[in-house]
Amino acid sequence: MIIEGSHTSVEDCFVEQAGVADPAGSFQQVTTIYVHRAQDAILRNNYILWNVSIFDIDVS
Amino acid sequence: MYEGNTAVCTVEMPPHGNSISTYDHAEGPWNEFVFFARNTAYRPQNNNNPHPTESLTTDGGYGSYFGKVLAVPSKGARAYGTGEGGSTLLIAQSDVITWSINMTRSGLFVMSGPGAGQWRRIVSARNTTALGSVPAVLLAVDEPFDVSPVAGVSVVGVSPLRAHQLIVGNRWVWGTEVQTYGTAIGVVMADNTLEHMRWGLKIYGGDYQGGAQPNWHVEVTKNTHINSRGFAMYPSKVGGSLQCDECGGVHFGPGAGNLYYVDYYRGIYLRDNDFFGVFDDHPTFGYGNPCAGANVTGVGAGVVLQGTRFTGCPEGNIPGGL
Repeated sequence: MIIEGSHTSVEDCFVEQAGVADPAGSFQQVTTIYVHRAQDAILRNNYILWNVSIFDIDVS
Repeated sequence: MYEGNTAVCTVEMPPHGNSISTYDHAEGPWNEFVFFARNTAYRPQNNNNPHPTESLTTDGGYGSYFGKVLAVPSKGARAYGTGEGGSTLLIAQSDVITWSINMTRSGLFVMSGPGAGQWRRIVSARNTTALGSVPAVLLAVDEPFDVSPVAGVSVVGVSPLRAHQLIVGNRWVWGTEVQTYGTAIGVVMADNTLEHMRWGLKIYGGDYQGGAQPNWHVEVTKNTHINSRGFAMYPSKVGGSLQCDECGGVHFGPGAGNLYYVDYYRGIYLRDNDFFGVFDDHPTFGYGNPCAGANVTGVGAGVVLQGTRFTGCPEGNIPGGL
């Protein structure tokens, strides 16, 4: 799930086995929610199962 | 706003750090006004992940300048590119670490000397020959300094700005560290609970990946560590031309002989935090590795450690003189 932009809201979602795993390398990157360059974004009351990295907020 | 979410991880995969970051520092080196509250994150019980990266980190450090101020053309006057009310100063091109980090909208931090402890948002940066034979960079900041830096004396850093973040009421279980990493300005970490955490709360200013990245005005209040290692506060240490020692905030500038003493920590309040039990129930990381208690080795200006309670775990390393 990638959120980019302004005034985005994701609420009350159930997310199971989300994310994209990169099996290469010692650091597998698994990001379920990635907020990129977002302003005034809201992520609230979501439930995420299985993932490793629950979020990555790069607000810049 | 990231509030009330629950994440349950059931596999021991090396996670990418959960970060509130400024990785995109080439385009947008700032990150402000983040509300991260009432979230819960579980990792597998007895997580044996060899690379258990952070449960939460404010990340994406780096820096584009560290050195003395060359000149201060104006204070309170109209500043280049800002309209009314800004201020400008000149820094040396020779001390620019990299332009790959966009100085515009980075933070400008007065690290030592007159004006130390102030920070501003940079609104423009451009090379200039205003000083004749000395190649310089003209920085304009968003607000005039309350106390003007002094040319040739004040030391400033330019790094991505991460400021005004509330990390409150969260719960982490079987994770690693929850930390400020690199610049943190105006951050509150309060009413969080950490259980079975390989690390605890960290306040981690320093020169992570180059650049001077202060932790100023950070409050860590009423957090609870249960069977976890305690919190730590110390500057990071990297090799190369930029490094600081573990305690004194000694920072080497990029040029030979540029040794500056700076305060990475200002206005740090560690108050009313509780520690229960020891971190000895982890099959890999716990045994022989008891609760660290509070490991506070960084020094700075205005560091308050108050009301820390330990129940059933050692007190860790808390030096006097804070």
